[in-house]
Amino acid sequence: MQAVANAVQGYLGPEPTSVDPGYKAREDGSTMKALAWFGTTNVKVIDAPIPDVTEPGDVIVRTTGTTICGSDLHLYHAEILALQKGDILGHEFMGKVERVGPNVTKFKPGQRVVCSFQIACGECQFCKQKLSSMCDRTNNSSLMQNMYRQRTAGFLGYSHFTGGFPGGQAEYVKVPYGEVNLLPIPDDVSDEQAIYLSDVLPTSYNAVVDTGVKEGDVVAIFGLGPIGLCAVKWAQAKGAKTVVGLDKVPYRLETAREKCGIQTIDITENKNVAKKLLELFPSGVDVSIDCSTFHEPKTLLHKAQKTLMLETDSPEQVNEMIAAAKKFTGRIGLTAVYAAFTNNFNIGALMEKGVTLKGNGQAPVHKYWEEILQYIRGGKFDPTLMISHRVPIEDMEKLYDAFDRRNVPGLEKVFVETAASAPPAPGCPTTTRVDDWPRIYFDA
Amino acid sequence: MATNAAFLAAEESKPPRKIPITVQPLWQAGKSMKALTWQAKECVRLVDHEPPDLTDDADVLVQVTGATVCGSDLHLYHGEPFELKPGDILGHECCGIIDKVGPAVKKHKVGDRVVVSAVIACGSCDYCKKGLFSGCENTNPSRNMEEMYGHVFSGIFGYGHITGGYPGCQAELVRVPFGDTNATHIPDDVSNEKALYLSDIVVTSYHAVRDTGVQTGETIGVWGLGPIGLLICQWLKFFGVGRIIAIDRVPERLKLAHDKYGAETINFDEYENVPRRVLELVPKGLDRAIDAAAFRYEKSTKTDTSDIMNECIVSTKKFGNVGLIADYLGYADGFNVGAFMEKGIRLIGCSQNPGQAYVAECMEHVRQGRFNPLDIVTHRFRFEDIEEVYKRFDQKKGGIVKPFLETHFSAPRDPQSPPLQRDVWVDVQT
Repeated sequence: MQAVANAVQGYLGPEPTSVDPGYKAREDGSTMKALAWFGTTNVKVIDAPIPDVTEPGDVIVRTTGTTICGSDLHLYHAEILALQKGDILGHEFMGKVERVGPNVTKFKPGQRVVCSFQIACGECQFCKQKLSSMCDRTNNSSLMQNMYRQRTAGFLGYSHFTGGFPGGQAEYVKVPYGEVNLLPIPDDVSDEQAIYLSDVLPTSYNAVVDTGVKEGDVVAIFGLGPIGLCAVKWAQAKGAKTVVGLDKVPYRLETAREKCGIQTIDITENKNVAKKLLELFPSGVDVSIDCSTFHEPKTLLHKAQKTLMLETDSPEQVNEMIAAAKKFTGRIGLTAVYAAFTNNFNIGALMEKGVTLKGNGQAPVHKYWEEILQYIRGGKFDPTLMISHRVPIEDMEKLYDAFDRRNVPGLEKVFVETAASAPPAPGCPTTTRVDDWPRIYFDA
Repeated sequence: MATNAAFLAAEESKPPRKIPITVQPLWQAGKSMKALTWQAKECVRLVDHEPPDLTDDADVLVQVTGATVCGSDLHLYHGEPFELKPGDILGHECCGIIDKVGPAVKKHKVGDRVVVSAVIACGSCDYCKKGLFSGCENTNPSRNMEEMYGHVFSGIFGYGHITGGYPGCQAELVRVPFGDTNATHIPDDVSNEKALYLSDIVVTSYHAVRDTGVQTGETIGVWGLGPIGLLICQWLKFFGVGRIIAIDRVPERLKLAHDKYGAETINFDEYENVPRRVLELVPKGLDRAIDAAAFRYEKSTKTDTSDIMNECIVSTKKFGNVGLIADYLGYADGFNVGAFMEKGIRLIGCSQNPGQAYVAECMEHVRQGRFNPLDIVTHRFRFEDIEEVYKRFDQKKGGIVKPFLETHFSAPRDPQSPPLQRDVWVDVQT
């Protein structure tokens, strides 16, 4: 599938963009550690050239914190199209400004910054509305252009389907349009508090605000990974009357109950999720948000279809949410990444019940990150509740494996340090090694 | 397999939902009326049938003075799994004269001219109180629908047992439950030929536009130029839309949309790749899209297809709205959920029209001449020719868009409406 996707895109040629994702090594040949993709479940920490400035708006950032994302697992499993061997992954990182292009005046070397996962130009019709994830000018993917008819913005480290930008699981990262895509971090905000402004915090915030949680709503959050966990907290912040969390991983259900004080539903025990939700809320759920994954079909029918490539995505979650939704006023948001086509979608129920289904889209980080920073500075939202572990970048390969298997108790979001990182902030996890982590082995 | 018989069998194997009214009316023994019944796939028959009688206290009986055939009747005509039994009376659009009132009826008296809503609502449940009449909990006993969807929508006249199995209004007399809620007065200066269409298509098209949203100056795409799609074009103009991009294949319908409403049209027989053509006309993508086409069916376990929805999704701008007013029933394959999620599209199921919430307002627009349903009423036939009308309407021959069917009780013809045609096919070129 990758070979075909790359061949098709190569044949079609690149779409016009205002920025070049290309890589230029430094003249002194210096290298850095970076996590690169080499095939299905095959990632390696390699020595890659340190990138240099190529365009006048570039900023080179020396990474002091990075991490791994649930959506990185789609790359790990080669489910996203147009990955190429040697692609550096990672789209959430922060650091210190190391080198700037001639047009950059806003940043000084050494300044602490966090980067948005999307590369936006700052000038197009979408950027002007701060809808940075939909920038028209930074994603050169002709494949996406053909499949979706419009392109999202380019994303860091997320394959050539999103522009082929080398990513942030690296010791140095080139950030095009640096003044647009980097947010200065105030001194009273620690690295651990700031890093997730890159993706998780705006994404979970967008899920709640875009889908439209209102005061008094009954809200169901499907998937209690870091996004789901934060979505629960945002829903509560927006005045939801009741929030229910759904998942199948026991420690994630427990974390949600303990850290957020909510009721949870274990979907391995309650296979008919809609029925269970309608028992709890007979007239239906006001808002459901999908913070899970298209990656894991539940029923045999969809496992088979995915294996046979009859579909790429599973509709099961969406169908459950539609059945559980309130008529007319029910809202559903898809924040979990979906990629292509699905079968068995219950469009009849959607239409006849008058349900509104929203693709939340990739979160427009620039629309929200300053606002969220204020929540953090004001003590109203603590992002560090999601950080469970801290490891050095050398462990990145093993981290992918552990994160994928979900067999490390308590594993949520991980802070990945480099040689340039500050020491852990008080109250945040100290450095350990993946090999030393205890594992739980689930029953088959 | 998703057949009518299988759905009916499933329905009958389950206990019905409890509702506070009786779905099947009492019948007046020894009397007779003409009624259009479903017999089998593509077989409808006008029969002599006992007329209904008052059954529940809030009922009214309406003597029908205007009837018609709907695009959605064609799903029943083609035997789609709406749980039809041979002998079921079809039809969900009529206007008429109050013939009898039940003891609990307050708003109507014998002789009043009324239009009857297609949607049967109780008027007092939580949904009705919020104006969401087609979400009424008290008029649809279908357990099968409740399982398929999680909840039921309201009962509907003449639309199979999945919506209750209420005898319909393609008949000379119809029993209307909750008459105060479901029958609306027609002002003296509005003809039957205009008022009839407030039973369904006028309020349904209005609802589609309100639900999908429209802002002045926007560019909106309309898929399907049947009566709903065409009236959507009229409402869009009424609301000050900038450009309308309208998609269909029937030449007379494309021409009507263009001539009357200034729509830029796309004939999908000419342009097989509809989104490509839309994006040539509107490079940024549509602000919104409305699917007023029909679900087309496959001969498999699926009842619905994603084709139209996918076209709408890829033709619409990032973060744009796609409204579904076209009827969908069940499951579809090949839904482009990737484009949907990544582009931030809002997919709005419009549901059945909550007409009771809009009918007064729409009636006033019609009365004042601001909105004219007659734009799309192309033919007038006799009610007794309804079997042939179904055939012609299904084939879309000779420029037919929406017909008016007169009964023995009809008033003299509104001169603005088409003249009576006694031969259903005479104006069709062979």
